[in-house]
Amino acid sequence: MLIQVFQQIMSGFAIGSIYALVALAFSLTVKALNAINFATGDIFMLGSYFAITFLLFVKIPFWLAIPFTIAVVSLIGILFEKIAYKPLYRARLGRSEHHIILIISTIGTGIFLQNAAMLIWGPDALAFPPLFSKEPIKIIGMLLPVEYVWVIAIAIFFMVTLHFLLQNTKIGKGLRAAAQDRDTAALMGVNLSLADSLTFGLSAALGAVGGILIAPISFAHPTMGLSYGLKGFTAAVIGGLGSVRGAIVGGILLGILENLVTGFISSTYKDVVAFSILIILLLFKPSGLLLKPPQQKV
Amino acid sequence: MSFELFKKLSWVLILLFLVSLPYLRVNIYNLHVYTLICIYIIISIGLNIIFGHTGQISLGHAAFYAIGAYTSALLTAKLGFPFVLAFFCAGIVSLIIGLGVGAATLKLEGAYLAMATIGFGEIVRMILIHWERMSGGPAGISKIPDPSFLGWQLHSAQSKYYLILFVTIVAFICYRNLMISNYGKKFTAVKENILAAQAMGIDTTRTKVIAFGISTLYAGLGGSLYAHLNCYIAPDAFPISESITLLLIVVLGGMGNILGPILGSIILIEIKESLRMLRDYNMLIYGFGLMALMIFAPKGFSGINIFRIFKRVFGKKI
Repeated sequence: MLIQVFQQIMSGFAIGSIYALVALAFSLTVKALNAINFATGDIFMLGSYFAITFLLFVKIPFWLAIPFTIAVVSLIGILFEKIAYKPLYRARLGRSEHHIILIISTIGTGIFLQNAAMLIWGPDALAFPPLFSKEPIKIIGMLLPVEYVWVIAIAIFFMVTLHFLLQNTKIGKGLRAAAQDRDTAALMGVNLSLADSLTFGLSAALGAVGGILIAPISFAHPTMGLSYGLKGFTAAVIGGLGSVRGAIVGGILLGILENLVTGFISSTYKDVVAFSILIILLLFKPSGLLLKPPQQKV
Repeated sequence: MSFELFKKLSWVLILLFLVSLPYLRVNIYNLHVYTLICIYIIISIGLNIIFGHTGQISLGHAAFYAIGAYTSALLTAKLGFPFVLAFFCAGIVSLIIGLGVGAATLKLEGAYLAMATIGFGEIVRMILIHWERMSGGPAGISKIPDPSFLGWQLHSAQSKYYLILFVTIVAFICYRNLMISNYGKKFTAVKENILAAQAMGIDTTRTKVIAFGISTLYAGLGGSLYAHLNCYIAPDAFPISESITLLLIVVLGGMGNILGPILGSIILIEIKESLRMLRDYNMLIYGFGLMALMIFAPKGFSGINIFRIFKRVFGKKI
């Protein structure tokens, strides 16, 4: 019984690290631009599809497919920023109006990406070629699929890379400065336009990594974005929207909880549980479990 | 001729046109589309109350639409309720759930509220798909009886059109009266400046919840009409994109514009119908259009007041 619980927790950890990547994708744009990108889920979906395309149709090895996919999807993310976000940011609108318009514009982009994927790859679910042996490996008495171990390893690798990029490089410092105070950062010589593009590009890259990692576990289909996008957002809210550490903790917590529900209650209602958590959390602790509630200014 | 008289006369003309519509265009399919537009008008009036007038976004309105449709369908098909009773029950059930959801979620703002309402919409859709004994699962409920009214069975497309047109007109008049009443002013106050509204002694939370309740009442009533129009419903009919369509109707028609829901529904549903020819490219162009619209015309058709234009063009002489 205890072994079983641990096994569920470990596979939850694997799924959770994918949610954490999506949550990071949400958090980056929120932190930097206070903009929630509703197309994040669909960018995640593109990650899945491009990985499958590179592996199945271009036939390049897996370790090469990852950087290629990330590059392509990041470019799409930057293009997205140039076309759908920047013109809105420039328009002189009131704050509340700007939010609503951004929501609708990003939803529109999401619908566009979804249907473009449906046209290119067809409406049916695509399976990922089996990469790893089906034989599960044994860790301290638990049986874990090899894929899950890889998923955790790759996700952690990219999270560490992101952390390093944000904390230790000049680009990261610029991005953080722009997120903290746009005007001052601009005065200090940060290229805001470039910083915005990079933020969206990074966010898309994280989404793409999530998409690549989910592909061997489940099928890729054009409408998968909504469900994973919502889960990623839930994870981001659990940890505190806009916080890097919060997104990771939130994602892993959500994955583990969901897997425990699937394993011990029923799999049909796991999504219901996840979305209920989102609503309950938004109600009682909208700042997340890790962040302090913000002081409201008049 | 005074302006007031002109206004009344044009309303009469519009009404005459709407009543004679089934005889002008006999095509059954077109008539069905017009009936659908009427239903969209009812639901988007509801959404305009909460989103356009009160300024609180809801991306879960398709869920209330679904709740109304399923309530009405279950009551008539399984329990044998008469249509009129089921119609009002659908509205009331939706209203009660809406008040609950509103009381819970309306503390939130902006994108957080959007996400919470999306979450609620998805929960409702999951329940409809998985709770097969109640909802019939993915196959939905078929054999919903035609609406009956004072002993008449309405099963022709024309009679359904008249019924739904009548409900739409009543719904619109109620909406207009609500908006020029005290409550309408309160809604606007909450939207414009919540702090100022509080300072004026308005209970803003209560106002928001009431606005949400009324808006879900409209959605439930519209859902009931939809169920009895098609005599068949399934969870597929109420996806999240339906909520987005409703939101778009309100934005297109102009947020907080009383004629907005009518304008928006006609424009958007006609656009969607004409895009249908493009088949697979349909939703692609729709999504792109949504984005382009927000960039080039973020305020929709708001501010367009037909009567004011007439007044400006013709002066006071007409």
